[in-house]
Amino acid sequence: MKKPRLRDPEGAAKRAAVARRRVGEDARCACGEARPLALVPGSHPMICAKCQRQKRGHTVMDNHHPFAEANDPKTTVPVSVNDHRADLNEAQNDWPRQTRENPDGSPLLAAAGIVRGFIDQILYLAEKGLLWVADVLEKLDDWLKSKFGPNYWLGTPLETFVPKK
Amino acid sequence: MPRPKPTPLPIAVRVFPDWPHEESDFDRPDRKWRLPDSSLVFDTETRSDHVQRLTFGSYRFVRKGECLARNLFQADDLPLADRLILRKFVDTPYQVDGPRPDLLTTAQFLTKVFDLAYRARCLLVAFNFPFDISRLAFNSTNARRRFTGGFSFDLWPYRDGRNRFRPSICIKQIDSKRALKGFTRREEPDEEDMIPDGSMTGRPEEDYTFRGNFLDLRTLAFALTDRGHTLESACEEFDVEHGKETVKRHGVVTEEYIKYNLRDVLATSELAIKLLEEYQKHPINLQITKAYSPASIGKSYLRAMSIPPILERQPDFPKRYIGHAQSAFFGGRTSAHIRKVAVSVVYTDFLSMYPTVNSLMNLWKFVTAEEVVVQEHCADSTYDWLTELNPPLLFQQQTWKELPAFVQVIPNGEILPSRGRYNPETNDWQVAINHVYAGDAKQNRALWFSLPDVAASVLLTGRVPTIVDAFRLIPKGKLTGLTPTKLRGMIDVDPADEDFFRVVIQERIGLEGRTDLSKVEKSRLKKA
Repeated sequence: MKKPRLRDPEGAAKRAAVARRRVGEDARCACGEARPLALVPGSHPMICAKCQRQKRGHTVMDNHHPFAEANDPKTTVPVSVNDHRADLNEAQNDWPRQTRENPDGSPLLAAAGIVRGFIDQILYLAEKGLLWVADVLEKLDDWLKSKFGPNYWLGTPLETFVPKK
Repeated sequence: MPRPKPTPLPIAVRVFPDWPHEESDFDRPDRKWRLPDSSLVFDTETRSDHVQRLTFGSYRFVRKGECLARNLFQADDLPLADRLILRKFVDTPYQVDGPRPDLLTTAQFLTKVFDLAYRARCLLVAFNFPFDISRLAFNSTNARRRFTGGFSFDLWPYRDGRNRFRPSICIKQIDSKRALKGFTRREEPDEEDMIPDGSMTGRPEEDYTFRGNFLDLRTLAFALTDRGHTLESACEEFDVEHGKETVKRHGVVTEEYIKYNLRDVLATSELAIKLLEEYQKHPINLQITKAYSPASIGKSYLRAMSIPPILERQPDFPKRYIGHAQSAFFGGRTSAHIRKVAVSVVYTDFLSMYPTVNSLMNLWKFVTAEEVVVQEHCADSTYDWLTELNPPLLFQQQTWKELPAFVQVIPNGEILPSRGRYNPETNDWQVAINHVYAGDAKQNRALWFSLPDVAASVLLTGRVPTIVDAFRLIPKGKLTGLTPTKLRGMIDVDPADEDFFRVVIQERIGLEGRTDLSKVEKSRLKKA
């Protein structure tokens, strides 16, 4: 899925480069996780935050503040620790610092935080929760065509979903 | 015409300094280095007077070929009228692709340089880098250690001095096309700044200093083509889509001049991509920011073919003879025997002359030899050989194979190369081919020359000089484990069976018939 243009691509590049350097070149957890921000710097062998917690018998879920804690400390969403570190926190780091930290408690900045947080959350959910469904449907369509021919849906309940022309 | 009386002139000879081996993190070839995926490309504009003070500049931040940000920056002391022109420019919708430029102060731009070029270690790209970076500095001092003789530029101020928690940039010019460049160590660097490039563990190392990924496209274009380029000529030679444009007036901030600067940065950015593409065709393991000359690339090819330098494969090779050979080294030879007189000429072009001479002298055998043996004290046989030398003999290939030798002579008007301060105006050391006199016939006035230089003198003067000593080099055996390579990623070369120089000549001759190369590429490779 194409991500929206970053507000501060230079800042994002700096954070990504530093995170990559801290875990070493081509670092990867045994589970396959390779996002540098999800990996634990200094671990040997390299391990991701999720596997490390599993190993220690801790929960692998984090409570994410989608609108940033300074804007709404009560609302949290449970997400996997790896996604929390590598995706959602990183998305918040691209916000203007004033909006993210809102040191004076500005209601307008809090509202801006809610808009930004909502967009980040929707994009995250769309990518994590929906995109795989599209992948599965496309692969299944391929398989059914090879198995039952190009119009495999004819004479099946799927026929009712044929696009109307 | 009577020969003028010789003028005494001090000459300089190269020496071979036998330094104790020092471990340096700066040019260590075994450090794994990966080309950064982002680059900060910038260009500055200056006043056109002799001070050339910064007026403004612009940069593009490019990641994986896509421009993600581009901005203008202005000098801190820019007059208000000029600032207003820049402000108006960025506030007016400007019909170009890509992100809208904003106007930054120099300090804001330099913060980005620190964040991106130092912290994120992206490529910092410019055409003629030393000039542009010097325009951004607020102070310069004499550089020390490996940059002795160069400058240390302070970019980040703090109160009245330099910010010691930020690095400086040292530049030491080698010549008009090349310069050594590097960040200095800053005080209290962060842990992640002490992680070496390419570290597999991410562990900081106490003595590591990140030196920067500075890419001067002027140097890289020279290294790839063996020719000095302007931004304009490099863009033409590498077929850059948005090449350099011209402007009527330099040094004065106008809308046209701002567009010209933005276009320059675009051209530089596109040229960087083209040069990187060309560079990556070479199957060599050389950090692109350290490709200072065609020789750097040539040496990397030797490494790629598993050919180590002579002292690595033969550590006990007598250093004395390297010293003699070094003092006889003058580089390429150009001579004009009739000067300042209009005469008719016959234009004669020697295609691939350097590799042809190398091939005729059978030098590839030396490059791939298991051992190079010195045949000492062969002054008599060299004298006899020179006595018999005449121009027709040079049309026999065997004659050239006799040339890998060095001769110590007491010059007495022979036409030989020498390094002196021939031009009182520039006062720099230059090589000239002149009638050289030792002054007296004492042996300690003798100088070492390569046999081809002495042979040329014999042919030009018709007499053999007084020879004190001579030695001949003989290749013995062949290195084991030589690795085949692909010249420019296309032409197979097996160093064990083929003469690399001959392959280069043949490929150059065959360029015209190639269908896989564009016209621009062919024209460029023909000149290389």
